[in-house]
Amino acid sequence: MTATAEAPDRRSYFAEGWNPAAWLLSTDHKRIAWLYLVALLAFFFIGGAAATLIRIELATPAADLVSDDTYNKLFTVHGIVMVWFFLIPSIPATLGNFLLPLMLGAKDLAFPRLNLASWYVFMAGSLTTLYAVIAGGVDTGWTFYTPLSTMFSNSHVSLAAAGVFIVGFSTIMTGINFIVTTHKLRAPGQTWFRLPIFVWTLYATSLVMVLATPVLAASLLLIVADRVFGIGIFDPAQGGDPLLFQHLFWFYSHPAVYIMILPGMGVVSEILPCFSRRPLFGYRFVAYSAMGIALLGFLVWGHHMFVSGQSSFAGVVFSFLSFCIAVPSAIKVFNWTLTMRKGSITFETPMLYALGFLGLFVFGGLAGLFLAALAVDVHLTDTYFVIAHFHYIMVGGMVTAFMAGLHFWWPKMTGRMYSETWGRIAAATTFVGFNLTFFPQFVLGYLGMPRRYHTYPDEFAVWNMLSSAGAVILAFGYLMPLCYLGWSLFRSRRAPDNPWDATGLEWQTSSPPPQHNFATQPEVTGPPYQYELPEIDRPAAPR
Amino acid sequence: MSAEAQGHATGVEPSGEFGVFVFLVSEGLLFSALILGYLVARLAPGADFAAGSRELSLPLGTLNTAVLLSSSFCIALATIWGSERSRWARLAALATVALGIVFLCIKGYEYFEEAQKGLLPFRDMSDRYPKAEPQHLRLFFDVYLALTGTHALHVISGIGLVGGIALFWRRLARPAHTLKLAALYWHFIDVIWVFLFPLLYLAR
Repeated sequence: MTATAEAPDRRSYFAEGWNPAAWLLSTDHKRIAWLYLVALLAFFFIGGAAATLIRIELATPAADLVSDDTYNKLFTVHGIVMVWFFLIPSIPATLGNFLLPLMLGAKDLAFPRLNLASWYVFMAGSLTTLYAVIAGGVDTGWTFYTPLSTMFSNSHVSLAAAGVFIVGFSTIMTGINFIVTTHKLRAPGQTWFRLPIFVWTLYATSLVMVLATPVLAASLLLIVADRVFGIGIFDPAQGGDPLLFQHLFWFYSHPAVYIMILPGMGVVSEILPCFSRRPLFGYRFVAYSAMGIALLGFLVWGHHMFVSGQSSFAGVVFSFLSFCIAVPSAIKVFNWTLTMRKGSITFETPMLYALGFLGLFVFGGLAGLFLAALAVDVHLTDTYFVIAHFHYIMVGGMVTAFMAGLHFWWPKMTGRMYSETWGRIAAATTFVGFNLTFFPQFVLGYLGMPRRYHTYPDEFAVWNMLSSAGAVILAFGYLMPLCYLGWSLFRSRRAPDNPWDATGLEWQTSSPPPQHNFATQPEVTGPPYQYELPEIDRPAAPR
Repeated sequence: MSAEAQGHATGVEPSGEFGVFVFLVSEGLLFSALILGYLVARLAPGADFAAGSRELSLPLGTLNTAVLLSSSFCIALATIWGSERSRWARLAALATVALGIVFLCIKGYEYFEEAQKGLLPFRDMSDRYPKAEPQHLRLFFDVYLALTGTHALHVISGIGLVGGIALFWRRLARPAHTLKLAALYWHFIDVIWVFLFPLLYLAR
């Protein structure tokens, strides 16, 4: 620490200019967040394009757009891109990268160069996989199940797996950076229980990133080793165990589900108190439940394998543990709901998205209990019920929370306000389109329509048509923000420093923040979320 | 903007060390997953899996363990001398690198011998197994290659890391500190080997 006497630099982080080097070589966490945002949005629309083709194919029972082989490749691209190149880094690498130091009162992350490196590693890995997809495609599904992926698939499995493996490094780098930053760079007075919930959830997410990703790395490494060198640890012909792959894969991929949803929970925990003008109800429970979810998330992977031939005792235990993990999630929903009770609620765009999250997350979460029930799951495994369930959590939950957070902090990130009218229209469109797309899939799954087929019997036609129609609306819901947010960058009124009248250190600095975040070192003197009801809504004092 | 310019309550030194420890936990899980693969194969009923370990060269494995332990000793010395700003630090770091290279050479010779015996599980060698239950022997060598190969990759990156620090000692802002962080990684590689050696060579 060098004590400098000169006046603090108050110019915004945009001030350095627009030449590529200032962006591509910057170690400023705010600029790196933008690098991630641009890359992730590109991947979101690539994955979305694959989803669009899937929904067009499924609009009618017959195979009229793509062949079965192409269809396999389409849902694989959709899965790989959406899970690893969008959902996993989505909130942490963009909003988290931008906000974590601001919320802690720090000048940057603990390792700024590692942060920039993580973006380059991410790009190297994701472009490798994208190349594999363009050069001929992968047909194993995003799960790379053995022995299909090791022995039978003639597509570019090795290259795609290598790309995902490389992206794993970037995830671990981000995780390490966030953990160390949260431990070491908190402003004076910023104790653990004064941290915003968003920081808690990022911390929990980072723990999962650091602990789960290496296991995925090991399993992908073994798949590539099998295809290239013939090291057949998963090959039954050599005495290997193909189920071992599923165990390793889901030991990563179930916690990865919580990598995807926890930051979304954090975003909503910031927005609901702000637009209800009430402190977050049960702050400590919300914080602890984030850690509880991260911990329990490691103990439930077997519920993906109820029909795989694992022992029925294991099935019962995993079923029980899967019910248990609903408890911390329910605690959060309970606290969010009570936060709004007797609040002075206004419906700005971030709040609309956050309320959408709440509804869709509850719905998807309750559907998860059906799947956690051992006997019911035997019927529902590999049907559209599963698809509907995890899209309610991943898209209805995480993507909605991402949009909520993007709108909430957009004024802070850009210094510009977006069109409130268009924002509300987009939030409503997304909610309607989402439900129309995915609710019919619950029915289809209940009726027994299996996933991953490009044709289906005629009796499923109506529900599939509804779903495809909903996808069109949903696509509009996601394209609209691209337009009006993009527009707001150039032609829009300037944002005040604290447009939502929110608490939190990030709102105390200017919009957009100066290069070193704060003109003076901020200090924290009290708990977060000290919202007060406006005068008019306050109940009369008891006599 | 570098981490040195952070606020009062923060020191870069504990951050760096803390970061490396978190990274090593992550690395530990990578090896845990691979070792789990070993345990599943070993505990599978009826498999003559352990026969594979009897094909390994115990003398060479023991020698390699000694080499790697000595290298850890060297880097521990380098860390101490580095903190005392002694010239010997760089030399000890170079000795670590040399021992790491010796380790890789011995490992390479072992692979060579095993390949000569037709033990390594490459596809074109699959019909040259000498024992009655070839597939379980082969499974052992699958696991053996996955574990020692991943470990060897770590040794190579460790050599690059420590060698780089020794070579560019004068150009680094705080060479002794950087060396200390690299030493944590090197010790970790050593600890992993301490687990691999009994699992692969001793449990016959």
